[in-house]
This record gives sequence, C-alpha cells and structure tokens, in this order.
Amino acid sequence: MNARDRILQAVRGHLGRTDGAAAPPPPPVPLLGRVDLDAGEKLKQFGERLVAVGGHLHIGMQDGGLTVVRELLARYAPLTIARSDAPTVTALCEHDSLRQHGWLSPAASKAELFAADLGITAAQWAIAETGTLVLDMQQERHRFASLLPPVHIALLPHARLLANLGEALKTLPRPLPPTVTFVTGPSRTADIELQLVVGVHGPRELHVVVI
Amino acid sequence: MGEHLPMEQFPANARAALQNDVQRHALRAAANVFDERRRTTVSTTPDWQLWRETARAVKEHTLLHLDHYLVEFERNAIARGAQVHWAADAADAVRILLDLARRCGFGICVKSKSMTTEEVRLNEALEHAGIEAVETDLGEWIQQLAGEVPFHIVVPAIHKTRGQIAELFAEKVGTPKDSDAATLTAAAREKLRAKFATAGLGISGANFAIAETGSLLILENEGNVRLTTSVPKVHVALVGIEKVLPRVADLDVFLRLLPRSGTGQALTTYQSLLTGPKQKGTDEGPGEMHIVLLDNGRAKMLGEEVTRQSLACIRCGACLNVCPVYQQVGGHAYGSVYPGPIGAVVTPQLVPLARAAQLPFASSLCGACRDVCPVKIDIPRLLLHLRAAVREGSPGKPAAQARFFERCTMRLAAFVMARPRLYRFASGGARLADRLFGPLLQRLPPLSKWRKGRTVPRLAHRNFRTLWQQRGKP
Repeated sequence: MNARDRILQAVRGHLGRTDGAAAPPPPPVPLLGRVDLDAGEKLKQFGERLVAVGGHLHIGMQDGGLTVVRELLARYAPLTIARSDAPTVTALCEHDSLRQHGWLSPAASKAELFAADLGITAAQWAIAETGTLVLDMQQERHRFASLLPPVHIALLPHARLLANLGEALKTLPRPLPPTVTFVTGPSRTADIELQLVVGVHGPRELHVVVI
Repeated sequence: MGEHLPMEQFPANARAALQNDVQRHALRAAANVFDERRRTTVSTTPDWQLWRETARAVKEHTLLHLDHYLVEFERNAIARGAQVHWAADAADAVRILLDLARRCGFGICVKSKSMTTEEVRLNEALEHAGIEAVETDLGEWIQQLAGEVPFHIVVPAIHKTRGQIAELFAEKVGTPKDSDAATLTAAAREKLRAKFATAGLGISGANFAIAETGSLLILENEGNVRLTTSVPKVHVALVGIEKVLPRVADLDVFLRLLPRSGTGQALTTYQSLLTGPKQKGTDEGPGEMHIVLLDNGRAKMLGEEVTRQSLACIRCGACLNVCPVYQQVGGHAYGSVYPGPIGAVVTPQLVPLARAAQLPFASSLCGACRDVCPVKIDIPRLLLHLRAAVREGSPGKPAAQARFFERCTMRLAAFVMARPRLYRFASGGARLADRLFGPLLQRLPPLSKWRKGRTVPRLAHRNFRTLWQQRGKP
C-alpha cells in the first residue's frame, strides 16, 4: 500500500469512518468585519491603518497619480524602475514628463529586477479594515516589481477599496489566480530584540497612490 | 547543525537553563512584550470570543472529516497543476524533499520558516547529501548561523540579545562587532538575496491548505516567503495533514486570529495565497509546485476528542509567551521542535510516549495557555490526559497503589480538619516539629522527594487563629 492510502486509511480508522463518506457542510463563518462604511469612511480608515503600519498614502485621483509619482521619482531619483504591465502604470511610463527615467520593461530579467531601485505597480483591491493591498498576479505582472526593489509605489483605483477581509476573500476571482498576495505595509522584522526594522527582504517603503 | 537536547532529560535541561540569566531575561522581556501586544489587540476586539468559537468549530468539523477534505484538497491542487505527495512519516518526507533538491536545487535551496521541516530534520538530511539549505527568515537564519535549533515557534531567536547576534554576525557574516539591529538586518538582506538569486528550489511550510481550491496560504512579515515561493524554478511546501480548511471563506476568521495571537498584529505584512504553479511560460513564479502532505503521527491523534484538539493548533505561539514554565526554562529545554505548553502536548503524541514522558509534567497547570489559545485548545486537560497515559504505561509503582496512598492521606487530612481540637493539636505539633527539626525533615522522605525542584514553605510561628484573636490589640 502506498503512503497516500496508508495515511487515508489511518485517518479513517482513527475517526471510525468508512471509506468515502461525504462530509456535511462546514459550519458557517459569520460576517466578521464592519461593512457599513461609505467610500469616504473607507478611504479614511484605509489611510489610517496604512500609516499605522509604516506605509504612506497619497491622493492622485485628479490625474491618475501623475503628480504624486513625479514627486516621488524626484525624491528617490531611481536609476532603474521596475514596472508592471498594468495600463495605469504604462500610462505613467509613457508620459512625456516621466519618460526620461530608467524604466525597465515589464518582462525584465530577474537580474534586472533584483537590481532595480524602485517598483511601480497597480493593486487590484485594498482592504480598509487593515490597510491592506490585494495583488492578483493574473491581472497584472507585478509579482517581482512589488517585491524586489527597496521602494514600492502602488496605484490603487478608488473604486476597488473594500471594507474588510471577508469581502476581499469573496471578491477574488474563481478559479483563483495562481498567486494572490496581501500586502500590509513595508516588509518588516523584529527578530533582533524585538526592534522593528523595515525593509528585510521586501520593500522598506510602501507608497499607495489612490487614483 | 542544530541539535536538540535530549527530551528524556527535561528536568536536567531545565535546571541548566535556569542558570542562564542572560537567556532568561531576554526571553522573559520578549515574551512579555508579545503577550502585552496580544492582550491589547484582543481587548479592543469585542467579537474575540465569537471568532475563537467559530474557528474551533471549523477546525473540529474539518478534523472529523479530514479524509474527505484531504482528498478534495489533493484533487483540486492537482487540477491546478501542483504535484501532491504523501509522507506517512519523517523518512518519507525527507526522501521526497531530497529527491527534489537533488533534481532541481543546483546544490542550493532557500527555505522559509517551517516547523514541519524542523520536525522531519530536513536540514540535517540536506547537509548530509551535500546540498546547502539556507534559512531565510532572519530569526531562523540567526539560529542556523549559531548552530542552534529554533527557541520559539514564531520568534526563533527570541532568547538572544542584540549584542550576542552582533558578535555572531561579526564572526560569520563580517559585520562590525557593535552593529545595531538595522545594520544586522541589512547584512542579512544582502547575503540572502545572493542565495535567492541562485537557488533552484524554494522550500516552505504552509499555515493553511484550502480544500475547495487546492491552495496554500502562508503568512509572514519579512518577504522571504514571497521570495522563496516565487524566485526559484521549483517550489515545494511541506504541510501537516491537519492544516486543511474547507473553504477560502474560512480564512476570514483564521487570518484574524493568528497574527493577533502571535505578534499582536491585525494582519502580518504579507499573506501569499498560492494555487498551483505559473500557467504560462512567460508568467512570473515557479514552473513546478509540489505539496508534501505529512502525517508523521498526526492521524492517531484523531481518535479521541481530547487528543484530536491538538490538531486544531495554528502555531501562533501565544501559549509559549504566557507560560510561566516556558518563560523560565526556554525552548531548548523541551528537546523538541515544539516547545512550551503546546509542545508539551504535541511532542508526546508525535514521538514514543516513553521518550517524552517528562514533558506533560513540565507545567503548573495554571491554565494561562488555555485562556489565550485562539482555537480554545484545553491544554491543561490534555496534559492531565497524557500524564495519566504516562503513569499507566510506566513500570515501577502501580498506579492503583499510588492512588490508594493518596486516598488514605486525604481521608486522614479530612478527619483531622473536621475536628477543631484535634486540628489545633496537630497543627501545633507540626509547627513545633517544623521549628525544631524542619531542615532535617525536609531531607527525609517523603518531603525530600517532593522538594526536588520545589521550596518547602516553613510554617508561620503564629497561626491564623492566634492572629485573629489578637486582632485590634496593640
């Protein structure tokens, strides 16, 4: 008997179940977070929670984030910029006033991405309750651009702001994309004497630009 | 290579740990901070008890139908292109992981924190096979550099001071001797990035496995899990069979409970929800995803309701942080990958009971662990259950005889206490004996036996009745 059958037989044996019996429906999970927030309240809460975990919130609704991103690029002066293939990001990259920067192709090699100074992506959703971005890697090529550079700028469409985690889990497309990443603030550790240090393996700075 | 202390010798390990003041102080300070953060976040969460009950109900349901959900998980993971392996024991798991590492590791594997890989002693096996396995969680890497096993299931190097880590890094990594936490962390980032860039295989654990979608969910703060599961060409996760949850929707409650209990965070920085390998050659991410489902003694915990609850554990570490025993003796004394209260109940069920016979007694039964457990595991009840099992199975004095002696003692005490004059006479006699021969009596049985690891309190010179009668008088 192979390991699979041995394990399943042991599980059934200890549970006193016969082979293949179907399970009744699992117990319901009640609605756990607040849902009664309007758009303004959601944005306010999202911003508070994001700042509390060390992220930065910018409002760029009037021009697709152009002004905010221009200022951030001037501040960080990146030599190379990793970017995803989201249309909102491409629009920035191709804008006359930003074209002079060292943009990488969305299909850049791993070596280029590892060396990039800054990454710009969009975010598919965000969760107000915790200040969390939700990145669906099937809708956008942003797995490395959001992770490898020390600074991450994420463009968040205002309408994609959700109230809570349960709503986000319900909103995910089915079948699920190969990778969905939830991001709450910059990469952090407290493994040395509980001292908070940001920027361990992921970005040390996270800027969310609401568009 | 980190070696566990012998778990058979818990009392000796504990005594030795008690002499290590630096370690005790570092551990207590850190554990208290984590517990304080947990208490703060829980106290501002009005629905905490509802969340706990919901999570426990989901776990209990899943465990009662574990065969069904394992098969559902396997079917859906395979449908999404993942390769599912089954490991009945540690040897199975090591063989599967070694084969993968040999085939695609290019001589180097990166690992994100995984207690199950510690449980099957994977690093040791990889080292023997000449394959470099690099821990990438900062705390776990510190422990690997120091040649130690993890001290805590969430914060592996919780017992080390910054100074100790700076010295270790000066020797092994080449940073200045007086480096601060930020410098040490930056050095780790740089060293480990080079490993990520060259490793052929990423090895992780998983916090949850979702049956309805065949997905894994992994929580972290640093980003090393994201790197481990995306940069190398192949990703393998070693997952205990108890990690299965029925639905994606169940994550709502578990993602609320786990970070709050572990570190006091509302949510850790990153959660990776992984469903199969990349779908097109041009996508980012691993081309192969392997999931190894590990039994290694878990299935046999399902049989009884009392032991089954051990499998509800979500490894948050809250019970370690509040445990007065763990806070004093630390993680290494237990001689197991799972220390603290949950370790004292899980370890004796994973290894032969005779080996871990000391562990269920490594508790004062104060119940702090039960109060903080986010899935309401009754750890004291489990400890008593395991103590009884140890006693039944131990040679020497039969349990019945011990119970008879205990019953006689209690009857005698009840008889004396029910008779005030006799009680006054007996307690007076005891006080006199204590004053005259106390130190001597403590060296003779039965007190000498009881004294091991305990301090016998001396009787007060004046008893309560005397104090009561004198009350109000100058």
